[in-house]
Formats: sequence, structure tokens, C-alpha cells
Amino acid sequence: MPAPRPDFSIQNRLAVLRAERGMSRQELADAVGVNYQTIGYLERGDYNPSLALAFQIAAHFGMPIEAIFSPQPFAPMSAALYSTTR
Amino acid sequence: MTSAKLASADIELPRRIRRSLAVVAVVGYPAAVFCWTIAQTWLGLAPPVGGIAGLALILGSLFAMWRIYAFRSHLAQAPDAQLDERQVQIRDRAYLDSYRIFVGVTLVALVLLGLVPGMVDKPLTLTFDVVNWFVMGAVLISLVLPSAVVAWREPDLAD
Repeated sequence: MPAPRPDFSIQNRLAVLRAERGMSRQELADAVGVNYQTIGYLERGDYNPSLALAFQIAAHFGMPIEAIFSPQPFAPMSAALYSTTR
Repeated sequence: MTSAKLASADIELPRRIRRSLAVVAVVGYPAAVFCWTIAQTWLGLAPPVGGIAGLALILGSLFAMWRIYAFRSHLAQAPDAQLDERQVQIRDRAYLDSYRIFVGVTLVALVLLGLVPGMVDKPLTLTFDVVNWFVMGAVLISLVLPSAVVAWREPDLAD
């Protein structure tokens, strides 16, 4: 089985989504049942979540999982919403 | 997963300090016992000199062991139910690395004990006291190693 690339990191929009909702790391951590530091690790890309945790976070925000996590870098939210060059 | 996950209370300690404590906790005790044994058996230093220096080193390393064990034991010793998935990964990797380090250090120590006395042509007398120190050191280090590995590895948090 090929080993995963050591530099592979799943991108996410956790910090943006949390800020939009005025939510602290502790509140999000309590909602999905992890330590608040784990939210910090996720936001910085230092830790890749399990599928279970990713789905739990997606369910908490009421969004599809691919809107929050992606193997490729996300475009800025404003560009994705208001870009005139679609 | 339960909602009450353990917080790493001492994560705020700067990494430099955590790493220094980890090194002193793991290396300090065997180094102190080794120096003390050499001073007593080979150099023939009077007990007060070797004893006081050795005792100071041993007490310092015991303090570092206690400190590192206290502030990381909740993560390194906790059962799965009290940890989230990231903390479980950290703990499990720390135990694997601790095993590797312990086996490696034990092998090196045994080789040195077998080779060095012959190379310097001075027999090392293994008295009950000396063996007792080494066994105590092995027990203490095996207890503190997982906590020391976690303390060494964890990055500083931005917030």
C-alpha cells in the first residue's frame, strides 16, 4: 500500500465558518466532542480529521462536507460568492 | 466520543522549556548515576564529593521527571474514553516511540557496560547498590518516557 504523502494536508474553512457564526473554538469543540486544541490544529492544517469527525463538523454547520473540507486550497469565500467571471 | 475531552493544561509552557524538562527527565537520572558510579569506583572520590554532586543531579532529574509526568500524564496515561481522536494518535505514537527509545538506550547502555571497562582496563564492580540504581532508573524512565515524548513533540499553540 503506498504511504500517504507527508505534505498532504486537507484544507478547510473552519476558521471562516466559526467566525461567521461568532463561535469560539471551545463551543465548536464541545459541539463535536473534541478538545478545543484539536479545533486549533484542524484550522491550522496541522491535523487531518477522521471521516467521522469531518462529517460531524459538516452536520454541525449544516453544510455538505465538500464545502468545508477539500484536498485542494479553497478560493476565498467572497470570490466564490461574488465573482463576476463565472 | 465524549464531550468532556481532556485539556492539555500545561500546553502554555513554551516548547523550549518543555523540551528542556523532557531531556533532563530522561537523560539526567542515568547521567547522574553513571557519573556518581564513575566517581566512586574509578576516580575514588570521597563519598561527600561524589555523593553531593550525584545527589544534586539525581534530585534535579527527579524534579524534572515529576514535573513532566505531572503536566503530561493526563494525556500520556489517559484511557481512550477521555481523549479525542487527535489525542489518541499522539498518545499511541508516544508509546511506540518510547518503546523504541527505551530498547535503543538499554542496548547502548549494555554494550557500553560490556566494552568500556575493557577498553580503559578498569574493571567495573557491579554492586547491589549500582544495579539497584540502574533498575530504579529504568523503571522511572519507562514511566516518564511517554510524557516526555509528548512534551517534546507538541508544538506551541498560537492561542
